[in-house]
Amino acid sequence: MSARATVIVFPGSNGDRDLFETFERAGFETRYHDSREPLPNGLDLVGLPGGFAYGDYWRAGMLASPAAAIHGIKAHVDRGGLAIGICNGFQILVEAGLLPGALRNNEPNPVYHHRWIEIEHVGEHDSPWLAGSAPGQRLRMPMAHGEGNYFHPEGPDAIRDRIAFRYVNNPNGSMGNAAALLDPTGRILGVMPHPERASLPLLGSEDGARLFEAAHRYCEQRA
Amino acid sequence: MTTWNDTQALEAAKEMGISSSEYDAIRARIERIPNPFELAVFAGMWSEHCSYKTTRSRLRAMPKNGDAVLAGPGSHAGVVDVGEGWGLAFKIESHNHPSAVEPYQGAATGVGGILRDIVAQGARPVAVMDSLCFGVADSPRTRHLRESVVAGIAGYGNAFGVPNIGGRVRYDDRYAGHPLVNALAAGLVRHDAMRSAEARGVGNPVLYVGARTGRDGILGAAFASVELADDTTEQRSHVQVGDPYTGKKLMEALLRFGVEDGLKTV
Repeated sequence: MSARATVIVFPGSNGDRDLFETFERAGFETRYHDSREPLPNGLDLVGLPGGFAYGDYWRAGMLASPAAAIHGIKAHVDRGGLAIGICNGFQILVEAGLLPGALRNNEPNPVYHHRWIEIEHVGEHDSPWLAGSAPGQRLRMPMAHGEGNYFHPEGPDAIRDRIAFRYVNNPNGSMGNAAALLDPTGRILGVMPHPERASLPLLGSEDGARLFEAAHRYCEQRA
Repeated sequence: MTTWNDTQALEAAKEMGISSSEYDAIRARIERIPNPFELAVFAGMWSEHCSYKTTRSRLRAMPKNGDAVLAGPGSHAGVVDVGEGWGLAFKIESHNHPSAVEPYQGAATGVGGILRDIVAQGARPVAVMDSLCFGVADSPRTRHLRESVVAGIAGYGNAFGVPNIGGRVRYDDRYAGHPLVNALAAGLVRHDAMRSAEARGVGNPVLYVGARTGRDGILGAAFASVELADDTTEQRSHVQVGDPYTGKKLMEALLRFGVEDGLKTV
């Protein structure tokens, strides 16, 4: 049986189709899942896509974070499953307390930025998400957000061991140049730029596909 | 009850941007004194925004027929055949007046309006572009307009989930105080999923759906026909406040229900 993934769709999600196709290309049997329904059993990977869940007219991710599907992520990860939140998905994971800290308005210019950037694989992590790249390796992918300034109230030391990728040129004032963060198990990844939009040569880069291919290898071995 | 006479009606008409000759034409058409509601309807439908009354002759000169044209004038958006069963729907709109008085919302709702037209045609929007003209680049007024217009276009497209793939900006003294804000949206549609703007048959239920309406945006279409005042503060309430979240949900709902589900026209 092939590894099974789901893309949680919130009202206002808009990266759901991109993420679905990326999961499928990496080899996952993929379905969409309504955020208001509890997560089904037997999943290997849960994805939270980019977008504006519930409009994000309040703090980004806040209104989406108590959704029924989000409640199931901790148990899913405790069973050995993987989760990834991209952009708005990262904001939701942070608001739900599954990852530490907060994502604030971009600094110094608090407006929407979109451009191609590079992120760098940091340090030695025992995480399935990082098995496709080596420490120091740079991946090229687009960013597109207005609230991507990563902040932790206890300062950069509190997250030093959690940073999976850092910005080569920090575009939003994030603490510790953090572009992507892991939870203590290494199985939940929150990433602000868009690896799923850099997963095909046609899109201008396929560096992002490494994350999903590594996740797929992990899930296949687990089964 | 006070009487409603020609003088009052004409005065109300002028406030909504209807000229004396247009008022006479309305009067002749309905053969009585129009009431304020009727005037507001005419003000909207005969506005530059809706009827293109000053540009109509130029629009007529543009090409609109061809083998690849799947939908032309009269539809929500133009559609051309791009092969393999796909059509490309596209629509351009200018939001010059609203952007001059309330640049963020004026530009944002310009994008929202054309995305609406693409979706109404049955297509899924895939791209936005813009063409902007401002006064001289280094004036503080231009800087304010440019930053707010660009933020409005970017903000709506980002929340809706459609990338802005290009555009151009021009600076010239002639545009000082009268910026041009043109936006283009494009979408993809299967030939057999195209919708028409035309409703036929009697007894069909009509659903009127959209973002919540407030005091903002009232008489906004008519406002596009009147000369901009020097102090535009009072005209800001004519500009609608955009709600891309509701627009996005509406798009997903509309694209999910096809003709076979009973949705005959949009």
